[in-house]
Amino acid sequence: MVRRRKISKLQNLRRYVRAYQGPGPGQLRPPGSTGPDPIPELPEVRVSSDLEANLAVLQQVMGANTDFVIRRFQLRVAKRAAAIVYLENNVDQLALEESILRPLVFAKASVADDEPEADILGRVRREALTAPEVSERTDLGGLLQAVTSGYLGLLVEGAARALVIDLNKFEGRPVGSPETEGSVRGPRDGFIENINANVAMLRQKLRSPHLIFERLTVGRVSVTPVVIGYVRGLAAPALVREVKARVGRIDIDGVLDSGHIEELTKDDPFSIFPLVLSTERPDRAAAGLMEGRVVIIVDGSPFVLVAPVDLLAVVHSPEDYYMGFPMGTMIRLIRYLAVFVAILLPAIYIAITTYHQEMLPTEILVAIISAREGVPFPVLIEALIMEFMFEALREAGVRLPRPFGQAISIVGALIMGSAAVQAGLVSPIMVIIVAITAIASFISPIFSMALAVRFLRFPAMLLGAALGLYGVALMLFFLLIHMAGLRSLGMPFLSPIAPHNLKDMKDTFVRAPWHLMEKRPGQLFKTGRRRLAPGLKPEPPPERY
Amino acid sequence: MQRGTRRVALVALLLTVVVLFAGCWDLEEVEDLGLILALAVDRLPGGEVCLLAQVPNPAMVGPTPAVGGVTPGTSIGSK
Repeated sequence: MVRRRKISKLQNLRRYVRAYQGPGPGQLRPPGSTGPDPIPELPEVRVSSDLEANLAVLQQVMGANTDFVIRRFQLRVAKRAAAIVYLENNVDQLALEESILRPLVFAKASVADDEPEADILGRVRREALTAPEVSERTDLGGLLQAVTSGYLGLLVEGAARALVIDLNKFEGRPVGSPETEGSVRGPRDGFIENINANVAMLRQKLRSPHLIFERLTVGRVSVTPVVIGYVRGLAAPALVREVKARVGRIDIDGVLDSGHIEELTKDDPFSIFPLVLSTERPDRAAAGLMEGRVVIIVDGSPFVLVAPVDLLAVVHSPEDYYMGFPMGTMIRLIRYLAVFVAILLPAIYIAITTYHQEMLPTEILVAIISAREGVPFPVLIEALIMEFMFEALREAGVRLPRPFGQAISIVGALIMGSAAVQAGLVSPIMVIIVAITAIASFISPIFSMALAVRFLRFPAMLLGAALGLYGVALMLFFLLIHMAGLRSLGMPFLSPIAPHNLKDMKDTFVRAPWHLMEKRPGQLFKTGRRRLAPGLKPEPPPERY
Repeated sequence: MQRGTRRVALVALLLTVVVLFAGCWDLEEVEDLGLILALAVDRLPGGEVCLLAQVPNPAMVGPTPAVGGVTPGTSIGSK
């Protein structure tokens, strides 16, 4: 009798382990399956009521890890053997001792040990555990997944379920100011790599109970938590469904940054434009939420995605709304101008000096001619060399260790620039053109938009050199066609310019005074658009005090 | 190749070729220009006409504002 039981236990164990080791390397993909190739799914093996069998399986699967800990103890509350399993570097050791081990080992049973077996875990939860976040798992796969995500697993002899307790210890940088989206006026906090901190930051900005954050998991190896946030009642349900569907269908090895999600959910993956806004600023994300947009937060990325967006929104800065509207409008106009300069200035210079010299006043033309005297390259080659040098310098500046960055930029910008001019390799005017373009290309408050602008300069230059201003116009024309065809989560990218919406033009090239921006964006709202009460225009009191 | 891909590739090739073949025919680098700042016509005895053109010498028109040497070019054509 005893012998038979032992054998069956052993067989059970073998069965578990075999199920757990998954398919071998040669037979990874079952015929007809279409998922990513080499990652075997964790098979569904239910938690057994035999504690040792469970532990043996876990040991077999996880035993190669030196940070995997199985700690056995006597559960006082139920007078049974129990064990906790965890990864020692990922859980908070102090909390583990204070709120898990101490109560489990010391808490006394309040009633006699005659409860039905199924409720042992319930009793542990009620009477012994002081940890706030506890949930149950019925299969070992779920338990393992939780353990490798930094949870603590609790297995009790005789219970065919396991408890998982959130003891995740996250070591990350503290909240700092956003690196790519600085501002003078306005909040200085930026998102960090921890998804929970980011969600909390948004909750702190918008305290309404209608703000909803739904959690998904993406990535087979990375198993990255992704949170989709929206304001219920403001975001169109169809939009939320669409975002959830797009994120939910991503089946990939791993997601290391929101960039993965951005590219895999973009309406046109081949477009150079960011069809999803990525921001480091909680206030920008919160503003998006209040306009009925959806945010996607990815664990491990300080960039939060906001969608849908339109082209003009990516040239706007949250600061525009904090300054008075005249200054906001003026700075916006400067920014628009700068974007055009960054895309077109070198191209226009090339086109005019090689095809349309008659457009220049004679003095300027003579100045250009004398500046180019002795320069061995055609204007296009000269411009390409300089632009390449600048782009290389910029890229090097990002990669270089901090202390070198400044030295290199001084060497690159000052010494190389003036030396190249003195050596007669480039003309001083070209240096000026490239410098103005460089300054203008840094003005876009959104990094991904700045990248698109950076890129567009080169086709513009080539076309300007081949066909003159006609070529530049041709490029703008094709660009416009391309942009008019773009959609961001199905919304027109050029809205509110095309399709035109006069009411929404209050927040495009100009930034209207707040008391006049009564409506939420018409692109996202068909009805219920009013966002502020009528008659909010401030004015002096009718009489003197 | 897929039909869509082939079409895109074809259009891209066509656009490149069109731009490159049609482009550059009237390209003129600025320093190759002979800028004529002033033109003088004078009648010479014997029915001939003297044409004087003033062309700036870029080497002399440095960053300093003073206009330096001016090379006069002269050509003579019959009436």
